[in-house]
Amino acid sequence: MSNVNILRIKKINKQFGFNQILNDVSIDFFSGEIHAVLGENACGKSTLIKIISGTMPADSGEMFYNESVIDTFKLSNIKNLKVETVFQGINLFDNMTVAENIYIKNLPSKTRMPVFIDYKKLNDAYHSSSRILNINIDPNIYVGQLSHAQKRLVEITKALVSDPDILILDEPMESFSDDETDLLYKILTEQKKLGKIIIIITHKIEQALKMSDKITVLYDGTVADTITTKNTDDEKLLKLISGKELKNRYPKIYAKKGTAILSFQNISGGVLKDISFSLYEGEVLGITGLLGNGKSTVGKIIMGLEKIQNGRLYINGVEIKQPSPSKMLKRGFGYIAEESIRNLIPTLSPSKNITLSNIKKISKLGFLNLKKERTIRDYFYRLFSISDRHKNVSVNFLSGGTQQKICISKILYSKIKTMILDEPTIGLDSSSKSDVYNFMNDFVSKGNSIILLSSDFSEVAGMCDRVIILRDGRLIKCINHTELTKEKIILYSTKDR
Amino acid sequence: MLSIERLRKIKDFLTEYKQADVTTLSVMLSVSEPTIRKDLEKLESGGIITRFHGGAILKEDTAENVLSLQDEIDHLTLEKREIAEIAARLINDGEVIFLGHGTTCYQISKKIKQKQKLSVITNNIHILYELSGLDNIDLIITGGSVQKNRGTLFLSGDFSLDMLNKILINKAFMSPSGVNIQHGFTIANKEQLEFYEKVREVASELIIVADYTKFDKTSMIPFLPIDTQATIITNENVPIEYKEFFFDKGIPLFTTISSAEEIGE
Repeated sequence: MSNVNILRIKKINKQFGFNQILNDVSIDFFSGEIHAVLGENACGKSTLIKIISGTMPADSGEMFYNESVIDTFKLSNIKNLKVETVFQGINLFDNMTVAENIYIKNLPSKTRMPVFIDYKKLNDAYHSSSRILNINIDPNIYVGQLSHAQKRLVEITKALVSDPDILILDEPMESFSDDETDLLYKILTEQKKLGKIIIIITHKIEQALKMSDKITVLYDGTVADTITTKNTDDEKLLKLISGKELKNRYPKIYAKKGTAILSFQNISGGVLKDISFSLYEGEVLGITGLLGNGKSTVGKIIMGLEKIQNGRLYINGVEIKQPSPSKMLKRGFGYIAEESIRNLIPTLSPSKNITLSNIKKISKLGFLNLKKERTIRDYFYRLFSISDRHKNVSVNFLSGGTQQKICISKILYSKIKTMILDEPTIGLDSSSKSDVYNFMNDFVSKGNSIILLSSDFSEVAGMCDRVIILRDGRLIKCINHTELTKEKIILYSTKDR
Repeated sequence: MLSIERLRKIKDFLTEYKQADVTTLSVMLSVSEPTIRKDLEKLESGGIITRFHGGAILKEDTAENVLSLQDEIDHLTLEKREIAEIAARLINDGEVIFLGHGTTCYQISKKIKQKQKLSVITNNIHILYELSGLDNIDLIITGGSVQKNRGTLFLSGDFSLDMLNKILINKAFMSPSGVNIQHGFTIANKEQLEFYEKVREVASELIIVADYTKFDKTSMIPFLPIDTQATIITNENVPIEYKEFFFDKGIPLFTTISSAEEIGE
């Protein structure tokens, strides 16, 4: 190729709160190449893409395009350089047609003022481009009627019709069938030949191997390695993605299993399909998988926040027909949803939040016993060594770690026996994480149980007695702690078939 | 008032007057009588006092009591007991364990009597008293000369070193006198150093037990660097920077969760 364009990022750093998301990340992207960025959940892939695409500035580091520095990390500052990014999730208008969506930035108009859309021109434009791109979707159908995979293809087409120099795709093959993956491969190979820089973000090893010329593996915010795809295989990549086995950093006391307290029998609902498992007394049962594979739905189904379409749910051997939060609370189930603040009322004080779900206990004849309320708060503050400074402020002013501890206090005060924790340590600093883990040990040591819904594979490998891995809403594998490693979890949650 | 603080006040009162009645204590500490009764129950299970109707008396100092280590010399008994609880849960049936000197290791010995089959090697004289004569526990005492440190007795010297040459240990529990990010784990005297270094050599897993007051303190003799691959057990109120440090270094830190009395109903 006569002239190769290079997009170079150098020593990029980004921090959110306590967490260093990206740490001195340097990668060179060349035109005429498909470059895959591969890594597990929360390794910093998406943040990297946001920085490259200019939607978010880095804390430090530099970006170059053909050796000229890019100011304020905005590629759009370079003249005549077109960048298109297709983010995860669908960003289309459901109530507009395929063609309208694709040309939304530049709809042909019948009049000089853009009032009436010239559908003939629009369809012509669509047909000429779709021939090149090999996409076979009726341009006049509404996007809302398309399948998820088809919507992704429409989005990618939308990005391609503006003929970008740099194309960035975040998890483009999510929910793709083999045919669709092949189609995308063809499209991207064509685009590559036109001398474009193509960047694909993925967590699936197979996809990276199939689609790319080069692979950069991100691990915990750092570049583990950049390799030419021909010179590697899935085993080597798996090692790189897993990084160090950190199972031993977790304070974990393994439990003696008691009797089954909760059982799923062939349950389908939400994204879940035909799931069966049991939770036993005294254990921490981990449920994991890549984001969007249904682990949160498990918690929602138990608490009645998602309908059971098929199958049976048993608590202590008794079938529960229609679970609801209040019913489950009575049976001793507590639930902490992802993002601790959502379990609290942000503008109320910690003591109000803690006692809220069991308010009968501190009131008499309709009056609240405020002294008792304070005693209860002080009890939990001691239990979790929360600083007294945080007593009389509303909870939205507290740190994530303290909020999480107040959530736990709140459900503990309702005398629960089984706790469902959805991503309990996401965004917490190390010391709060340590507190949450030790609390989990203490809780199960009293014969209680925990369902830990988490996408942090190290945490799941380190803190669980058993782990269930979900993929596309199906139960793929259940691993006992004696055979549990992070590598295995990554393998089962990413490998297709 | 914290329950721990209340227990200490009751202990102080009992050491001074040898006996006390529930009503006096309840007025003195301005808590209800049932709460005082619960406290006294706790102290009785700790072997410090004997309860009688309406009150309690302090146990007399006997030879037995000296060897079985009076809890009253230590106002951190509850904290240490909770640490011992976690330690005991990390011990599997059939293992060979070492218990070092000091009151925390002594508390561990009290929690492992129910294990199926255990070999315990120790230089802690109080543990000798606690564990001898039990069918399920093979107790081995290192030789050496008897030393005294803050009221507790232990063995050290060449004889004890010789003995360690002949055994292998699964888990060694030790209690340093200071834990400091800068200076590492430190101990109080030189004889201990040689002995514990030997233990470390023959043990496949090292478990450090230290109550929260030992953190951010430094004793005379450096024993191990702070990032030694060990397991650490302590209390939940240990300084935050230590929780953070150990987690980031990949060293498991177990903390107790205070079993403060149930919320007043």
